[in-house]
Amino acid sequence: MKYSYFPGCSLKGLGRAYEESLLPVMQHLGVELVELDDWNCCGATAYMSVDETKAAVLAARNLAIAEKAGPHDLMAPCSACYLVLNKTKHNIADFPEINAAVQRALGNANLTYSGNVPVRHPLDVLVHDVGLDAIKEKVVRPLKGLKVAPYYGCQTVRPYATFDDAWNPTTMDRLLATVGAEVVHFPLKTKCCGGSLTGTVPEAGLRLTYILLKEAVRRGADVIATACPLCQFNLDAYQDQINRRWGPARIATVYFTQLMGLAFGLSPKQLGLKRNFVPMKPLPAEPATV
Amino acid sequence: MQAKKQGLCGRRAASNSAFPWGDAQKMAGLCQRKVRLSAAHQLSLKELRGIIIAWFRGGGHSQRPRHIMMRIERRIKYEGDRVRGFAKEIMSVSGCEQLQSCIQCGTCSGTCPLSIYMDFSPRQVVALVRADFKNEVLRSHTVWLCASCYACTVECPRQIRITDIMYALKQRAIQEGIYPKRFPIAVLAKEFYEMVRRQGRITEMLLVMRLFLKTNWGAALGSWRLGLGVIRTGRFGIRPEHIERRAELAAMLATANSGDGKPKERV
Repeated sequence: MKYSYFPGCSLKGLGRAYEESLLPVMQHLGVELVELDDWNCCGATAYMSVDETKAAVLAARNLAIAEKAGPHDLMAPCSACYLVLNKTKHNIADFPEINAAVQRALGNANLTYSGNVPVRHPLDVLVHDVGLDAIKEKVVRPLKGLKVAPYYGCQTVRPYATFDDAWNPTTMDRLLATVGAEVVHFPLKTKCCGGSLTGTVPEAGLRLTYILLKEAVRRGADVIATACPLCQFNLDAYQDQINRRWGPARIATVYFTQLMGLAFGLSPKQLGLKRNFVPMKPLPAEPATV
Repeated sequence: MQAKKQGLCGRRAASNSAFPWGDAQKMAGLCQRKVRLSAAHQLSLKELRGIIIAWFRGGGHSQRPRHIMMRIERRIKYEGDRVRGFAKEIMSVSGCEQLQSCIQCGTCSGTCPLSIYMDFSPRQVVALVRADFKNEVLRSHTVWLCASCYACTVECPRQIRITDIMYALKQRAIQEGIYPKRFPIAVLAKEFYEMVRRQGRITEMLLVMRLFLKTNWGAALGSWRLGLGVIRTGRFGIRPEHIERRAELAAMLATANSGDGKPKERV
């Protein structure tokens, strides 16, 4: 299995632990990822607030490069990248004026885009392409006794994702259960973490993060699993500020790929687990098998 | 009713004769210097002088024209406050065509995790846009508090892409410069845009530093603990990330808006 891989800026910056865990996990499962040649920023939410047409052109450059690279699906692990690339794909297909602007701009760079690049999320690829059975075979250290709250965030499942439900997605739940973890019922799994508002309007943004942390603790989770670099940063890095404002809610937040890596027997260091503000507790001792 | 009307007119006539320099609202605009009498009342020096003169002329407290003490604000809009064609302009944006089919059910406001912080709820914003109240909408906090979680877009029973409408409004507010100068959300969007235009990629730590520089140095100092944490966890990086073919991207972006009649504005 071979995929084009669009890391995005976060996975090279604050969210580097996501890439550090994603690559070995995919390698372990025999999935080949080829990083997109000279990819550029997808534009995220901020760029779209300034200029819509340019935002489409920006994202379309990546789609065009992916199309040139070969007939592989494009994997985008970051929620914002996944959303923006998908949104651009839809907009180019649905709106002739956007398509015209994009084609004109791509023409200037000798690029073409015909619309044939499926944009996929790692959760989608792991559950539907690799398959849960193949993943189960690779597990050497089941995460028995580890209670995980699966947190998908907004943009992974809304509004363009077709691989899972917009409000009650289950791919991550099934994936984590496959590697032996105990998945707690977490109804806030797609509630917004505040996004960039944690930095710009902390009164509102941090409160949303606090609600998620508090609920995960209340549900008895040992750790929150995320699929988004911004969610991970919000839930992890602001806990001391949140605890000072609204009271204690302390829980580690890791990427789902890090938990999978642990189950595959990879070392915590190799998976970037040392990059957490709030460190994850050691795995529960394996119950003695009779 | 008739008597009441006469009474009102009578009082206004009296006050006008006592204050030939005009009404309170006009003066509030003309006079820069204000005297703070209490938490509720702010008076300009001219207004204060008027009150003192009236005191001596009229011979007592009962004659003091009270309307001058009040700063009034009209909450209900006149039809003339509308900017004709604004709804049409927004509906011409790709993805915002469905605006007109809103049934004002309020599902968007109910699903929005941030509506409790907004001055206008998402439902009200849709109503205001549809009724051409451009200035009210572009000045509201609502568009900036939208975190793009797409909950409203997914839930809307009329398939209105409310998140996309919010983007269209943000773009217009930025183009027209209608937001507080140091308002961090708009500044973040502009700095992000600039960094992508120059480098093709975002270096998160540099972006955050520029945001602090342009908005609030104090907040940067207050976040020292967070900064240290980022360094401690090995996530700090200020080596500017950039793409190889920057000229290619620049050429693409430069021509993105040409040919569709829009001015090529540099934000």
